[in-house]
Amino acid sequence: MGLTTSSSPKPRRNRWQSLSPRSQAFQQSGLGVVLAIPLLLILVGLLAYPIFSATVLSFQSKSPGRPEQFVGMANYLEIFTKDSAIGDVIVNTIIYAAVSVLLKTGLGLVMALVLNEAIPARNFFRGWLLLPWIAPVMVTALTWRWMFDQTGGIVNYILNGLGLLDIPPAWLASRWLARLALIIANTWRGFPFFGVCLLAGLQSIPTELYEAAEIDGASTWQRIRKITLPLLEPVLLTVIILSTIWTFNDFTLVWIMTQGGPSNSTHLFSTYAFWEAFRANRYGYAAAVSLVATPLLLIFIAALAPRMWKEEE
Amino acid sequence: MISGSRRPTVGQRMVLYGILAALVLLATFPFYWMLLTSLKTGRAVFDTTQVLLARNLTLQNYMDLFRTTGILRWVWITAALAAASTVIALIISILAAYSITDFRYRGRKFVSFAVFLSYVIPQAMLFIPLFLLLNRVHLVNTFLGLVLAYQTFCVPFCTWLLLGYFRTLPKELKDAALIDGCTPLGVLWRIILPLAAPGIATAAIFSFTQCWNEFLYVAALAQSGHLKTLSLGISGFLVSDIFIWGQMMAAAIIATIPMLLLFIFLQRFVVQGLTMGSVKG
Repeated sequence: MGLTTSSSPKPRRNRWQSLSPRSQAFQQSGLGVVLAIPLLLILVGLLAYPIFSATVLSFQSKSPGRPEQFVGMANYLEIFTKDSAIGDVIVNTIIYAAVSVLLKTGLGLVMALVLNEAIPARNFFRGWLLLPWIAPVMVTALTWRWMFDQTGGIVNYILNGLGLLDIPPAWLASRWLARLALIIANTWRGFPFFGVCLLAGLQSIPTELYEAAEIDGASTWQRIRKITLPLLEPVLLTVIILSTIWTFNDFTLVWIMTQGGPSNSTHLFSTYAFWEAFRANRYGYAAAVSLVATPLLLIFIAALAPRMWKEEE
Repeated sequence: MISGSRRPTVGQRMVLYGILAALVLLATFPFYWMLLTSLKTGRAVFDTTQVLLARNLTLQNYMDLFRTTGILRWVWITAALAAASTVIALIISILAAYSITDFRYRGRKFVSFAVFLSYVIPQAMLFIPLFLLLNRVHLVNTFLGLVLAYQTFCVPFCTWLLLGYFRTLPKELKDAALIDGCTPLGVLWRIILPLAAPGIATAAIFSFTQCWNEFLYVAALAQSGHLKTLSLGISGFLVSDIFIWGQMMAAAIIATIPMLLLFIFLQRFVVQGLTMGSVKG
């Protein structure tokens, strides 16, 4: 079921036939359903019902203290025809997710390849490189906000010291620099996840393959391209899809570093929905915003399901 | 290994260690910067003559933090919330994972698929309806309300992770216990729980970590501010006109230390959980 084992399908067999009659009776007793009841309550009450009610809400107009009113497609129409921010939200969400995931994949791959070599204290370094991922997101967001600070931040200090700029830019106040800053922060936080997962994937590749390739005179680059990448593909794709879903739905980094600004240029669907719900008090509209990207999410889930979910025997 | 069985040349080694050093620097530097800022006060924070090193390091920011904010209370609330949510989620998901792996009933496959589905459903889609739901039953701004909301991510990934773990346990052992007259709950208690202890530890650590780091739900469901977690308390610094970066970085250090300790002592479980695809990155 894990990322690393999903690439090696086990032969299917009927595990129930080998069991004693007593076990079979027990397996078919009603106790199984009873044990699953708490889970079902959570799934229905706190996941299915809220998603259902969000869908209903997205066709309504609702603000605090007022009863909801059915407005049909009005919220969705407004999103696509009148909302001047939504273009930025869509563009930014896609850029943020795509570029961050790309960078995390690259950096994670480098981390995994380096840690897969015979270096001293390998586990120590693996742990050390996981540090960015260990820090609470709030801490990451705050620290990077401070690092990108115009006057006291270390980024401008270093760029200035290298003689790269005359006037220190206000990173988080400029549309594209703010986007870049967020992508850097997200990449920093997320690459260790890729690194550790891909390392586990690399370690399952038999070394004989590399030895054979070496005898055949394959270069390092050829070995990476012809052996490592193809055999790593199942893990790589799973991690990429999973991370795309998470990055797409990120909230904390953006909310803390820019709160969607300057002029809505760094909003994600989540932060924009939060803004509409709790700053503009338009719950119905906010629900519609939070659901607009659902078709895209469903595509990702459909791609992920056969990789991560295996049918029960 | 890509370098093959040959001993790598000196040049290859230098490239390898160079990349490793760059990665270590990248991973470490923001923490150094955080720590250094937290030990500077007043003008030193913005002094360009002491950016990477500092004279007169002081714990003043930490003292001010303890004196002027409720940070110890935030730590306590965050820890209590994370612990309560984790214990409840573990109980629910242990029972559920046992049910799905060892019993047969109609809809079992569907339940396991629903667990996968709820595991990938983002919180960003849930916070508005959860807010309205909890508001209706007067649980907004309450401890219980947050614990319930946290179940939406704790339960799916604990169940998900335990499912993977429970499946690997030898069924012959359970079968033998049943033949010897063990009850079904006895099998869970005497056979499965001891064998699955590492998996349960992994689930517990991740659940606790996720709750400790959580921000979206507290921001949406505990807006009144008297139930402040560390995330919410720290985000409050950003409301004022002047950012006291020294104090903010001190608070960041305080929020990081428990996670760091957890990680140092339980790294094995963390890495295992990560590669099982159980956590956000």
